[in-house]
Amino acid sequence: MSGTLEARGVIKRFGGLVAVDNVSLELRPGEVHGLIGPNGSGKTTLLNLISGYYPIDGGHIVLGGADITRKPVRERARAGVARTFQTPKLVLSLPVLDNAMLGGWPDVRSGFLETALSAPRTRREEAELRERAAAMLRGVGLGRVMDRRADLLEHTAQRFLEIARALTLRPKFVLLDEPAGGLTVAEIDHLGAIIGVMRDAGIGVLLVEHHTDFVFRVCDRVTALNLGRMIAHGSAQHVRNDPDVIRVYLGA
Amino acid sequence: MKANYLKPAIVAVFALFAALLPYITGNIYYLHVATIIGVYWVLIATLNLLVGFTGQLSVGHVGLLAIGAYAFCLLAGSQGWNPFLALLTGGVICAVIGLLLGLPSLRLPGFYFAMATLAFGLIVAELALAEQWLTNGSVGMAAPSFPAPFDTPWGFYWLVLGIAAFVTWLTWNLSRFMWGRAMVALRDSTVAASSVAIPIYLTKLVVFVFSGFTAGIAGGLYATSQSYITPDAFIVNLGIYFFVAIIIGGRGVIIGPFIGAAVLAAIPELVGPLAKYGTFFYGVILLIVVLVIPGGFGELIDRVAEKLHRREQAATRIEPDLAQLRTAIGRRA
Repeated sequence: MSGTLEARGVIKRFGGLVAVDNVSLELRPGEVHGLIGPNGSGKTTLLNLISGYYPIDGGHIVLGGADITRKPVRERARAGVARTFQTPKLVLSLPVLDNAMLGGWPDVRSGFLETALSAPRTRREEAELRERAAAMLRGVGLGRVMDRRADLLEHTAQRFLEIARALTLRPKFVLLDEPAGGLTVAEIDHLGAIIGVMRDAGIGVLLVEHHTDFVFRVCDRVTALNLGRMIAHGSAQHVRNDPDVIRVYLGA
Repeated sequence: MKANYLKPAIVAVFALFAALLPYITGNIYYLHVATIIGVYWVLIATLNLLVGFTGQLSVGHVGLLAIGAYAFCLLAGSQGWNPFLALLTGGVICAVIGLLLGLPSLRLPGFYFAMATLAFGLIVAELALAEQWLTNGSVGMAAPSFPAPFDTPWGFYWLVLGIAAFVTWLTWNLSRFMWGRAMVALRDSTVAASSVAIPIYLTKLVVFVFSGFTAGIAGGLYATSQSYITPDAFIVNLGIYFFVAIIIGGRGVIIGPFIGAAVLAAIPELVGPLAKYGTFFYGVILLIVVLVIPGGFGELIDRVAEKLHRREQAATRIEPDLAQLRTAIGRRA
């Protein structure tokens, strides 16, 4: 289907271990898709396959009908697939605002020499990006710490900064890797509200998360993994009541 | 805020001092040392983009300096080219050589890249000695000077100062816009850099070629400043000194390595009878910096400035502004 981000029969092996075994899922614009499963079930591995950090051993990744299985990370990002990381990956020596601005890199048209000469286009792009990133930061709730170096930010605030950076990329899809980890109850509510805004704006969100209450609260559809295999997928309601899911994940 | 005026003020005072130096000191020798600092700076300023900002540890830039120097002497000397054209051509030659060296070596992990540049520096030094038909071997070559008004010590000083100021401006621009952020991003986290579509290899390559170009320019200026060049002026130690100047100055700070360049140029020149201990002092300074202020003088200045303008570091309260977020996301180009 056009306009979606799909994993089709994806396989990933680490040595003898099959970390992801023939998993398929379809991420639609304007929909929040949850990916749950116990530790080691292959959630983050699948996310790394979709965003291109791991080479794939089988199956396809398809974006808007185009096969991107062999495309490097940066081309997928350029095509509109943004992500965050379980352990935030920020440029710690740069201020918060600069980190968010990095998300605007795909829109930079100024070449190296143009930048060296501080050409009008360079300065115009700089001003635009600065404004865009600042708006995103205020939007996710980091408006007051934009000048602070990223390494002086608490871990939880760093998660929100990663979301702002991902959104500054103006993505079609955002992959969130355990964004609720370590967040307070109030912060999780904020996160849920931000994800809601992303959905309403037509962004497709893949939410990899341990926190099942949160997943069932914000997700439209959910895929459950166990030992690299899909054990259930469908509406949040459906997956929540699936006997296999209850047995391997919720019940234990 | 006070801090916003502090840095431009320091730069302005320094620029004025540098521009008027020939009037301040009548001593030709001091002027010569200042000229050497400027020449080194033309190389070190952009090497800092490569080493400090992009995190690629090149110790072989002395090879590019040598090629730039010999190219200038050959073209402006025996070939009789206009010295400015020869200077520029030397820069272009070094940019091309930088490209050819960078293409294979910038794919290597940091340590191996450093080794590749070291090997390059060694090879160039050996070739300068061995290829007598081109370089006159150990006899060396006379370096032509620039036409008037740049043919006097102060005239040449102002030429070097002008070029150094221009290169500083280019470097500053590169560091403060998106390219600079991209450089620091790929240095600190390649994972983060690729997640926002920064082409890591290409960015390294472009920075390397640019630093090669100014190294070539610095080579031509160096030749003129020395009047005569021989292969032993371009021993690999000098490449390591350039690298060390950046460590002393503080990587990732534009002006920091200037301190390193000044120390590098001044030490062997100014201590007179202790000249033979120049390298020793340089080593001691490096040791002190690495042990006491690993971020170099640049970071020391930043740290002092931070102390002076201490702000409350309250805990971050996340307060999303969903209306603003909605408009920000919705605003699609």
